[in-house]
Amino acid sequence: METPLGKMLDRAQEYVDSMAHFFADFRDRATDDYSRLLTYHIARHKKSLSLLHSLLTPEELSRVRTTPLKTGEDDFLPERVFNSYYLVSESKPSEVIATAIDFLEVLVGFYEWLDDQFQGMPISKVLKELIEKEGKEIEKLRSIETESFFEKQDTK
Amino acid sequence: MNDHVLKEFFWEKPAAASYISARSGGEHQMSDKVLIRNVAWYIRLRWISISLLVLYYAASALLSRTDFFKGIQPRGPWPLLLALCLSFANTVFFLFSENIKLGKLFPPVGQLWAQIVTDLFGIVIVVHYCGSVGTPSPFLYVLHIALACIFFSTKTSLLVPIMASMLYCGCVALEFFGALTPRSIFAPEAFGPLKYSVMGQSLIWQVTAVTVIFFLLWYMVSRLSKILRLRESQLIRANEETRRTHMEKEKYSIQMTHQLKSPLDAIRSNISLLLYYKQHKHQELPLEAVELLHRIDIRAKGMTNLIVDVLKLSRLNTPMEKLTPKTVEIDLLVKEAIDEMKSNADNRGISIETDIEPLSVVGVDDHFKMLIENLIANAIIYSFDGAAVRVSCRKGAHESALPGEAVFTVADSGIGIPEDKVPQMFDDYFRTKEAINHNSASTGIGLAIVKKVAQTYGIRLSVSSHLGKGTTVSAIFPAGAADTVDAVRNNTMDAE
Amino acid sequence: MAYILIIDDDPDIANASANVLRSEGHEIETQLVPEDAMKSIEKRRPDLIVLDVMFPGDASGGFELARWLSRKFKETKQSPVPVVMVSAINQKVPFGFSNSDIDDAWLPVSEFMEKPIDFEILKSKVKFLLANPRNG
Repeated sequence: METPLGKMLDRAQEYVDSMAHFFADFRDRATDDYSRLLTYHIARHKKSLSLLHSLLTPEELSRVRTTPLKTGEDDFLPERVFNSYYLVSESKPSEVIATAIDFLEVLVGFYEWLDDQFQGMPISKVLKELIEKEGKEIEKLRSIETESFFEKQDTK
Repeated sequence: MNDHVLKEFFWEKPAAASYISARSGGEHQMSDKVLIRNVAWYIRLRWISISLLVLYYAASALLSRTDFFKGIQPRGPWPLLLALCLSFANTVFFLFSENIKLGKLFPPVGQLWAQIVTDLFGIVIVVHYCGSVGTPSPFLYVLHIALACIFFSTKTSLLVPIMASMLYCGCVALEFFGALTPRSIFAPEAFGPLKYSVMGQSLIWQVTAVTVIFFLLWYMVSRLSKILRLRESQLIRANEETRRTHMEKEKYSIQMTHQLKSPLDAIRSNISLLLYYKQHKHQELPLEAVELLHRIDIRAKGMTNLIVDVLKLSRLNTPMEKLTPKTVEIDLLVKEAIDEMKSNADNRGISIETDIEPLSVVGVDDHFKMLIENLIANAIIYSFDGAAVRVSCRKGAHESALPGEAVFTVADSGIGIPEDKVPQMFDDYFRTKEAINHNSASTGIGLAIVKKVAQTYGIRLSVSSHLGKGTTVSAIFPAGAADTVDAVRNNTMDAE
Repeated sequence: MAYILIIDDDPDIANASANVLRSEGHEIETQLVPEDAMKSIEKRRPDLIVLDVMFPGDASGGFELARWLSRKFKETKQSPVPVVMVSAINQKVPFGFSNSDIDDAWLPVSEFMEKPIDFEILKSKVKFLLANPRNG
C-alpha cells in the first residue's frame, strides 16, 4: 500500500516535538544557565511546521496529505535520531548548539528527500520554505556560536 | 567652484596566508596551494625545454655542416623523439593540473613527483646522447635537486639526488659494459674517440665526483631551505600569537561593549520617565529642563546606536572559515531593508523609488544586509524632508561596471559631501560638519561597516557627491561574485 | 487598583516601570531577584507580573520563573496570573523572541515586550490584561 505524504508530515511534526522534548529534558538538568537559555530558543522549532497552515489552504493541505509518495517510505524515524544523542548536565552552550545543528540538518535532509519527489506541486513550495527556514536557523545558531555571546560575565 | 566629485574606492584584501602548512617528519613543507602553483611552473619550464630540444634538432639538421656546429656532433633524431615524449607527458600533467576532478584523484604532491621522475628519465636520455662523461650534461640534474630541496622536506628531497645518481651511474655502467654505445656531443676530432677501457680508473673518479657533487648540493640547498622554512614558521607562529592576542582583546572589548547597553537602557528609561511625568502629570518642568532632557535622550540614543554599530563591525571580523557563504539574493535583501526603513522615510515625507532586478551573489547574507542597510539608511537620514531616494539593483548598471557585475546603487538629493572630505568618508567615526548638523545622533561607523564588507568581498564603491544636492553611492560586486561557494570561501580565506 | 509585582534586576528600570504603573493607581512591589520574587508571590498573589528574562547568574531566570508560576497555579487549580515579559534579550543575543513564541510549556506568559520599555504601550497592555486576565 502506498504511503501518503501526510504520514511523513506527521513524522516531521513528531521529530520537532521530540526535539523540544529532548531539550526540555536537558533544560531541567543543565547546570550552565546559558545552555538552559539556548534550550528555550531551540524548542521554538516545534512550531516550524505551522508554515503548512499558513501557506496552504485547508483543502490544499488535505489533498497534499493524501498524496502518495513516489518512492518507498523513508526510514526517517525520530526515535532513532534522539536515542543516539545525550547531553550531560554540564554541557556547554557550544555542545548544545552543535547538537541542535545536527538535529536540524537531519530534518533538512528529510525535507529535501520529500521535495525531490514533489517538484512542481504546491507542497514543494512549502517544503522549500521549510528547508530555507531551517537552513537560516542553522546559520543563526552557527553565528551565535562564533560570536561568543556566552562568555561568562560577572554582571549582566 | 565645481563641488561635484566622483571617486572610486577599492580596498585590497589583507596579505595572503602563509606558504607553509603541513608538517612532514617534524619539518614544515609547502602548502598545497603553493605546490599547485609550482606544478604549473614546472609544466611551463618543460615546454621551454621541449622547445630547446626541437630548436637544437632543427639547427643541427640545417646547420650541421656549417662552422656554427664545428666542434658539436649532432646525431640522429633523438632530440625530436625526446621532445615528442615530453610533450605527451606534459600534456597529461597539464590536464591533471587544470581539471579539478582529475586533480582530486592525484594530489599536487603526487603530480610534482610524477613530473620530477619523468624529467629525471628525460635527463638521462640527454646525458647519454650528449655524453655521460667528458661533458657537463650530468649537471642537468642539479636544477631538480635544488628545486626538490625547496619544495620538500630534507628527508623527502634526498630521493631526488639518489634517483639522479642511480640513473647517471646506471647510464655510465650500461655504456661501460657495452649495452649502450657511448656517445658525445663534441666532435671526435675535438675530443678523440671515447675509450672507456683506456679511461679506466679516471672514469670511476669522474662518476664519483659527479655523484658527490649531487649530494653536496642536496645537503647545502636543503640546509639553507630548512633554515628559511624555520624562519618562516617562526614568523607564522609570531603572527598567530599576535592574531590570537588581537582576537582576545577584541572579544574583551565586545564584552565590555555589551556591558554598556544595560546602564544606557537604564539612563534612557529614567529620561523617558521624566518626560512621561511632564506629559501625564503636568508637572512643572522648566522649558530649559525639558530641552535638556531631550538633548540627553538624543545623546543616549546615539550611544546606543554606536554600541549597536560597533557590535555589527565586530561581527564582520569573524573569520570566514567559521561562516558559511552561500548564494544570497541581493534584491530580496534590498526589498527587506526598504520595508524596514519605509516608516522612518514616510514620517519625513521621503519617497523611495526602486529599480530592482533579481541578483544573486555568494557570501554571508548578514554581511550584505549590513552594507545595504547602511547605504539606504544614510541616504534617508541625510536627505531633506520631502525628497526622494532612488535605490537600484541591476547587472552592469554603472559606467565602470562590467556587463556581468552586480551593481547596487543608492542615490539621494540630500546634504552631499564636501569634495575634500570624500576620501575620508569611509574612515571609522568620520562625520562631516554638515552630517553632524543634520543628524547629531549619527555614529560615524555606518560607512566603516560598508567599507569592511566591501574589503572582504572585493566590492568597488563608486561615490558621486554634490554638496547641498546629494550623493550617489554604487557598490559594484566583482564579476564571478556568483561563483561557487567554495571559490568565494577560498578567496576570502586567503585574506585571513 | 491592582497589585502588580515588577521583577527586574536593574533597579532603575524596575523603578521607572513602578512609577509609571503607580501613577495609574496600582499598588506596586519590585523584586530584583527571582528567588525573592517567588517568596513574595507565595506570600501574596499579585494581579499581574512584569518580568525580565535575564538575571545575573541565570540567563533564563525569567523563563524559569514564568514556568514555575504556570506550574504553581495549575497545581493549586488557581487561575493564572497574567505575565508581561519585558526583555532586552534579543539585543544581547539575536534570538528573535516575540509574542509568537508564547507557549504553555516553554513560555507561559501573556505578552512579550522588548526593552527599552515604551511606557504608553506598557500601560495599555497592563490595562488590557487586568481587564481580560485569561487573554494575551
